[in-house]
This record gives sequence, C-alpha cells and structure tokens, in this order.
Amino acid sequence: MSAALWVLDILLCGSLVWLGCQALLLPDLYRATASFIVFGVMVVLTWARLQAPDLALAEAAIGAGITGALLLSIVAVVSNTQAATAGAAQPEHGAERGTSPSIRNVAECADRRGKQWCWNHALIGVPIVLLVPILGVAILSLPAEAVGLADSTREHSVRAGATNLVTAVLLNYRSYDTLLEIAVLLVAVLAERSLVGESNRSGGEDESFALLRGFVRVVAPLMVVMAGYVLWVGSYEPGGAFQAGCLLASLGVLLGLSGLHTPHWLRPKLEDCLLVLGLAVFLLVGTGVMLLRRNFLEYPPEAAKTLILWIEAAGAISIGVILAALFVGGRLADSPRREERRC
Amino acid sequence: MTVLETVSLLLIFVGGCFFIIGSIGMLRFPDAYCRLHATTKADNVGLGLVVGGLLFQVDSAWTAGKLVVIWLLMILSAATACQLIARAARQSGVQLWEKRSDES
Repeated sequence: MSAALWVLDILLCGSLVWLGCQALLLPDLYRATASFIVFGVMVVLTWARLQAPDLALAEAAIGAGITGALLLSIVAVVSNTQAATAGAAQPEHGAERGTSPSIRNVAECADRRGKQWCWNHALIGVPIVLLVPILGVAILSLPAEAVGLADSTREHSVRAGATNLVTAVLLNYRSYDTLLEIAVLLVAVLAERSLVGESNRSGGEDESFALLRGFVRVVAPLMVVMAGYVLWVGSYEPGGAFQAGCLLASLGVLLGLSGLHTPHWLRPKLEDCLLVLGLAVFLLVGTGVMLLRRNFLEYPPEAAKTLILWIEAAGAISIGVILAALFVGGRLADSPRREERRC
Repeated sequence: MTVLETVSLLLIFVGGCFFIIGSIGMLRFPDAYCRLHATTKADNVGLGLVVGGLLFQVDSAWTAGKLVVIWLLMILSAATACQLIARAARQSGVQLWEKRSDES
C-alpha cells in the first residue's frame, strides 16, 4: 500500500514541476493558461494528499476555478487585440519606411522580443534556482516531530468561536490577515474599474445559448444553497467565507457567460454597497469590540462564534460580488445609460 | 474479503479502466469532436461505476445520497460543457475529420 502511495506522491511532485514549467515557459498564452489550470488541479490533489482539506477546497475554488476563468477571459481579450493590432500595424510600417523590407523589421522585432524574454526569465529564474536549495536546507533542518502551535490552537478553539482550526486561525487568531485580504480584493476591483472604464464591458450578451442558460437555471439555486452550506459548516468543518464567496462568484461568471441579464434590482449603488459590505462589517466588529475595552479584533469569547459568523456571511457576499465583478470588467450592474439603450 | 467488497472493488476497477480509455481517446483521436466523445462518455460511465462501487462501502444513506448527487451533477455539467466546446469548435471553423482512403 505504501509503495503505491509513494508512486502517487512522486507522480504528483513531478507533474507539479512539469506543469509549472509549462505554465511559465510556453510562449502560447492559451496553452500556458491551460497548464496553469491543470497545475491548480494538481495542487488540489497535493493538498488533499497532505490531509489539508481546507486548503484543497480553497485552491479548487480560487486557484483552479475562478483564477482560471479570469486568466482565460484575459487571454481571449489579449489575443483579440494582438490580432487586431498586428493586422493594422503591418501595412503602416511598410508605408512609413517606404521600400524597406518588412521582413527585416519583423526579424528585428522577434529578436528584441526574444532578448527581452530571456532577460525576464533570467530575472525570475536565477533567484528561484538560488532559493530552492535554501528552502530545502531550511526544511531538512526542521525537527522531525512538529512542535508548532497546533496543540494550543486546539485547546482554545472553543473560546475562539470555531472548532474548525483553520477558521479559528483565519478569523480569530490571525483575523488581521483576513481583514487585509478582503481589503486587497476590494482594491483590485477598484483598480480594474479605473482601468477598464465604463464602455469596455466584456459580457457575453451576444453569445446567448439556450443550453447554457438552461444549465444555469438548474444549477444556480443549487450553487446558492451550497454557498450557504459551505459558509455554515465553516465553523466546524472545512469551509468558510472564501469558499462560499467563490461559489457565488462562479455563479456570477456563469450568469455573465450565459448572457442572462443582471437582475434589475442590482443598481450600481447597491453593487458598491455589496462590494464594501464584507470589509465594513469586519472593521465595524473589529472596532466595536474596542468599546468593550478590548484590543482591535479581540472578540469576547462568549460572542466570538456569532461575530465570526456575521463577518463570514458579509465577507462571502462581498468576495462573491468582487470576484464576479473582476470577471466582467469591474462592474456587474448595468449603468443607467446602458439600461436606457436597452429599453 | 466479503462478496460486497469484491463487487465494490470490481466496479471501481472497471470505472478506472473507463477513465484510462477516455484519456487514451483524448490523446489519440484525430479531431476535437472525437476527443469530446471519448472523454465525456467514458468519464460519465467511469465516474458512475466508481460511485456505484463506493456505494457498497459507505455506512450511511446520507453519504450515499451525496455520492449519487455528485455523479448526477457531474453528468449534467459534462454534458453541457461538451456541447459548449463542440459549439465553440464549430464556430471557430474546426473541420470534421474524415478518414482518407490512402490512410489505412
């Protein structure tokens, strides 16, 4: 039995390294993205093999799922614009340089690009190659028996408000990290909004397809229920706000792809409120406990469970809206102008 | 080993074979449509057999129900994804493969 597990482990490690190299080195963006998504799936298996179901769930939802969808949509946009500019730029160059052969021009371009490519990869590759032996030595010098904080974490988990240790760590012991993670997501969507602008929405409204719409109609309620379930069990089993938010976000992505209209009650103002809801509730709870003469984010043990549930519920909604908005260009709700046009 | 365990292992093994056949088909078949056929059909049956095999090993009806629901959802999403990929391939002009007479 253990021999089979060894083979599985070696296969996992080997495929991780190989897929990682593929994702970084393949010149074709689409293939690189596909490798990255498969890499994510392999990471999920690795976490499952390391008996870390929380991480496996999060990686499946975020790393392989939502990030994959985001990257694919970006690849589609990039390759479209590249094809358009390549088609438009070619004759212009010829006209500018008169009779100068465009072949040399292209060769120069490719040469320059190749050099830049080498430089970029050297810049990343050399530190990584140096880092690997250092990390290896660090890991090998650790004691065989882990003497971490696991025992004391387990001991106080009931007072921390969640018997699932990962949730206890994420939302109580180290809630600062989680607070800032939600803030980072919010900043990301704001940055995308300022980059994309209003007109450049990438929704698939023309590609409406009856089968996909039917599928979404069947799956949508299930996904909402699953999100609620994952959120609720997060306090005592693998699950939590990020996984639930990812489920909501993937529902948003499906809705966007199938060309179903955004619900009319989702006004831009309401969307903005939903975006900041998670961070706002987190900050309110964090500062609210300071009124009880406690430190920032130091929940009273008797109320910890309720407070964590509120934070997670608000956080899941915000994460869902933020990730879904990232997919469609920063805005889910139809702006008033678009709605007028539609009417 | 009891009879139930034997049946369970046999079902899981046959399911695994379907996955392997589907993977070979995906690598070896000539065009996107054939590859879709290989993966989706083989995976649906393969997963069904694996789930069927696992049903003999679970201890509660609740878990068994969960397993069946997972299988049904996978069938639903695989069928939809198959149609979507085939449609995308058709729209981007992938031609149907035809066996030429000089190939044998």
